[in-house]
Amino acid sequence: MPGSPTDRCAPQVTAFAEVLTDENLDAAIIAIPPKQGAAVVSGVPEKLQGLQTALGRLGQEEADQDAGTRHRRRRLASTIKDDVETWVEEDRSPCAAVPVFMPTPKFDAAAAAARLAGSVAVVIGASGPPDKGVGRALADQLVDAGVTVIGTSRNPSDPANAGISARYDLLRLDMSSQASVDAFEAAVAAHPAVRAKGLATLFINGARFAAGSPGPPPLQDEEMYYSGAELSLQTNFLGPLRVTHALWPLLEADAAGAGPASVPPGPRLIWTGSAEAYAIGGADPISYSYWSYGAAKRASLAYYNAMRTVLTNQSSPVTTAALYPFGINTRLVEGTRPIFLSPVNARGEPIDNPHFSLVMGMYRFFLSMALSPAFVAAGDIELATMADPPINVASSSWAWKPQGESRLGGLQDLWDSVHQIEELQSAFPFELGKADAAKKA
Amino acid sequence: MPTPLAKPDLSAWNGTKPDFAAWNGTNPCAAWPKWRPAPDVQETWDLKGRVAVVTGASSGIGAAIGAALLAEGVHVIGTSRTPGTATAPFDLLPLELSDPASVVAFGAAVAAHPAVVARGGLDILVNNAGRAVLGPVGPPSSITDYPAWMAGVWEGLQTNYLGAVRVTNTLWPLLQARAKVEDAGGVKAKAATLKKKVEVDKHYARVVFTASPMAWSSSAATPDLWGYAASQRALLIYANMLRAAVTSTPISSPPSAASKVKLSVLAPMATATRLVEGARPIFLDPTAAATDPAFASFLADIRVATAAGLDPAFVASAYVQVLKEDKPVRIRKKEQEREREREGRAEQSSSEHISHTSITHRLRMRPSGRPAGRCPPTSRWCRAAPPIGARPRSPPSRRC
Repeated sequence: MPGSPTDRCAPQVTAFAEVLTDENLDAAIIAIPPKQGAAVVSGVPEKLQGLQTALGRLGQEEADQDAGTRHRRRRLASTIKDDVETWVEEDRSPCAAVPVFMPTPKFDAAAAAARLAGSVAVVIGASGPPDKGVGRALADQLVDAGVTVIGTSRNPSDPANAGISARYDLLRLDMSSQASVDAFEAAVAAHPAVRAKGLATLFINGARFAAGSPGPPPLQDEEMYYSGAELSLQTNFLGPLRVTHALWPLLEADAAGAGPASVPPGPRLIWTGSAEAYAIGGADPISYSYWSYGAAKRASLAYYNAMRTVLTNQSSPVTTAALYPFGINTRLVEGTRPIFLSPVNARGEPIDNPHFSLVMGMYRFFLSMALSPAFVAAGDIELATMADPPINVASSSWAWKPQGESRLGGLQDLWDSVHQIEELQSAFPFELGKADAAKKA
Repeated sequence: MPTPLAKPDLSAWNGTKPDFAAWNGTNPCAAWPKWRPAPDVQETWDLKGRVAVVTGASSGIGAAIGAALLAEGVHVIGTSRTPGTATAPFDLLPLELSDPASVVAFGAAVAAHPAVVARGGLDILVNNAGRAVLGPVGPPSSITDYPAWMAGVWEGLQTNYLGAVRVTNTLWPLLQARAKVEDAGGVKAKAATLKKKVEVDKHYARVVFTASPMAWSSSAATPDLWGYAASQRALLIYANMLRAAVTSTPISSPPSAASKVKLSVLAPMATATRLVEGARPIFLDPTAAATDPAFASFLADIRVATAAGLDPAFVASAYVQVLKEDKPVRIRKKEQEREREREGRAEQSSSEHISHTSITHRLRMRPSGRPAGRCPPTSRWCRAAPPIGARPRSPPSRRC
């Protein structure tokens, strides 16, 4: 079935096999080049078989390698084989861990959004100019499809939000503050559209970038460092928790029949995480500059997965999904005021680390060439409308390098090295030297 | 020295959940083979005479690390939330990670400690202290005392994540001072005794973080530990990012003294400690465990997993090995420039670079609570034919 997790799990193994032939094997962590694969419907046994074949191919190639590489590869191959066997014994499906990618090829976001027509959706963080933020792009697509949207902004009267009020209501919300969330909860409950139709879909989007080096100490400004780190947690990790709790009763009420029963999947909550949730950090000289953002986003993954498990176990009428976009061309770095974790000069550049401005400039450059927010919005809509959304969904990866030479040039390669997706490591836990140790024992 | 755990009689275990009311504290997995990372490492980092701070050293893994380091001739300074109530063969300073003021006071106490003063700094910091955060994740309608729930989540983050950040930042000047001292005193003298053209730089301080494997893997299997998993994930990001910040210097500038502090992350699987007993329950109703059968069952499960987990002494031995056997940065003079270029080009995926400047270890074992190698009766994979080209599978090992 197109769109099922099994379907899109298959290309990942192909990618993994390619990684196996890469030289950088001792890094102990796999960087997957995520890409679009042929839509081969493949069950887990076939997947394993593919892996075994890949390992066999490795063996054939060994003759061409120098002794060091040969040794390293053999060690790696036997380690993986051991782990695959363990994993078969323990009945752990790799597909459960590997994120799938949304939107799927040829997905028609407009047609899918039309299925939500007439219902009410809340989109957190739906401010800014058109197509300069995922929330704004999502809200626009929903409004075009006939959905009543309630958006939020930290500052609705910001000039950048001009023109939004003609399309949808923009309420004030700062997720880092419980008081603001409480006021927002009351405002949504009192909103005429919600009172009339209930709340069918909640998109928790919104994030706040936190920039600054984690160290090394001494810190120039401890107060700024720690309050910035806490504010990042409060916004990017606790914020979605707060909003989830605040609007949950409305979603449950919708399930109980307050809203139009015709909306296809029933009430649904979509969290927007970040591909940073899958990075374990420190693999490149760039990401440390937003360690606090990465930490908060990675922490949220624990919440989303656990929550999803509990809701599934309890057969909750409210369903959830989470989307983890890669870099998107938004104002996340450029336009919004980042939380600095280090003191800055008049131009907003941190003064304690000369490397930092260079790094932030590079990051802005990458984002300026990244995909449009509308693309991620389409992934959100696919998740919101499909019958049984997969658990971990990444967005935009395969589209980074469309057909042949892309306009991004070598960016894909750089991105691959930057983002190391954890779950494959979890599925194939590397422990170099384990085979040797076993041999000696 | 913690009392060694007795070898249990596994023949009596039928694979079902032990009765924890009757658990006498023995560790069913004490017979686990000792794991030794990198047994063939030649260069060793001499631990004798060094000064180490081990947080959370009043019990569990921290106590075992402290004892193991002590046996290696390290002067150990431990920490405890309540140092008065614990006994240890080394100094225990008070430290409450969730309280910034406590960390500041602790930093001053360490700086004034006679051993640190005499040594001129600190060689080793083991960020080990942690607190389990247990409680339901949702659904939101089941969380009746939302403020208490949120406070528990926040305290877990403050303790396990920001607490370690604060301690590292506070003690960093002491670590760097030690690295500088060694840098000024030892390099030339020792280099003369080594092979020509090879400069061995062994002069650095160490920071080791204890993370949970939950920082890596999806927490879907243990939803009631989600708060703990979240804090451990954040901690892992901090440790790795700090390492990146410390090691990636601009091309133009020489490696600073900061890069002489090496960072490692160790993630022991379930270990037989009192982590669960000392957990901060984030669910509101103190009697929830008694009235909520699902939560009670979860608590029983996690106690099984903990009790059947690794021996803390074994985990501590891995810490010692990692500290001792860490390879020094070995720079061939001819390759120095190339090395700098590589750093500048950010090719940190270079295996050489990563394996020499940082170590991330995971101590792995099979998931506890299920005898290793036994197929679950419902597993269809066990009955499937082996894939084409597979080597004959070795008989399932019963390591536990």
